[in-house]
Amino acid sequence: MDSNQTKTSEKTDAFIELYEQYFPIVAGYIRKNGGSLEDAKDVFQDALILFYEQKLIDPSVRNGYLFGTCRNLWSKKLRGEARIIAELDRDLPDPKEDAIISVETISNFMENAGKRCKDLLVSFYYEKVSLEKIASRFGFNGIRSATVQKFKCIEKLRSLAKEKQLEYADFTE
Amino acid sequence: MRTSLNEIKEIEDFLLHKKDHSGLETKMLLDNTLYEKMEIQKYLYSVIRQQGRHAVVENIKKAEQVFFKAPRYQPVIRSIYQLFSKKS
Repeated sequence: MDSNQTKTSEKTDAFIELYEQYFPIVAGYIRKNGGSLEDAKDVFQDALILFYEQKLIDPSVRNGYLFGTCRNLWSKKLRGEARIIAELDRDLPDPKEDAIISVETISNFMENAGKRCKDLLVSFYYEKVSLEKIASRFGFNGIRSATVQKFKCIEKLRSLAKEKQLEYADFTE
Repeated sequence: MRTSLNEIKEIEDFLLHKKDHSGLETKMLLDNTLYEKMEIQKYLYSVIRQQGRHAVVENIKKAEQVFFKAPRYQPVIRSIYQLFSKKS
């Protein structure tokens, strides 16, 4: 098992623990406020995403944040606001052409850039892993080498995006 | 670092770290492809973040499945189902 798979399973285990500790409380709250079990599941999933991302920015954030987030999300749901996961599946507009780039194309971009590039970029820009840790995790000589590799990956993705734009321009002309 | 990578760094400093961008603005006046490069780079950062989130969502869904199906959690799952089967 590679280190990324191990990390994934560690993450899943941590989420299971949060389900065990907090889902019954959240379910009770949602039930009391007129929601269904599906509502409770939806709210909890969304709250876990926000909780996870908050922890990336501030590791000292406490688990109580999770219940507070669930309460806020339930109020938003009652006001008819969209789910976080639904936002995720919405396609991103191409900034240049106002074309819609599908989630599938986005995934292809990342896959074409290579798994190593994808993992490196997600680690740095989403997971907020330090360059020092990235260098050791990916086997680079040091921070400088990790930085150069990161920018090379961006360069690769940028040229893939540019090609996609040119294809779109050819198609619409 | 080679020039093209330095350019990526300069754009990143502007987009993510909000560093002084007067130099970049001047370059944009002289090189009209630079603005386009910046827009693409900005877009890529949102793509990367979205990919990161997708991976987290997959983990959360897996965790939910385990919690609702694994035998060790069944006593608590039964009480949750009972809670929702009661009429209010």
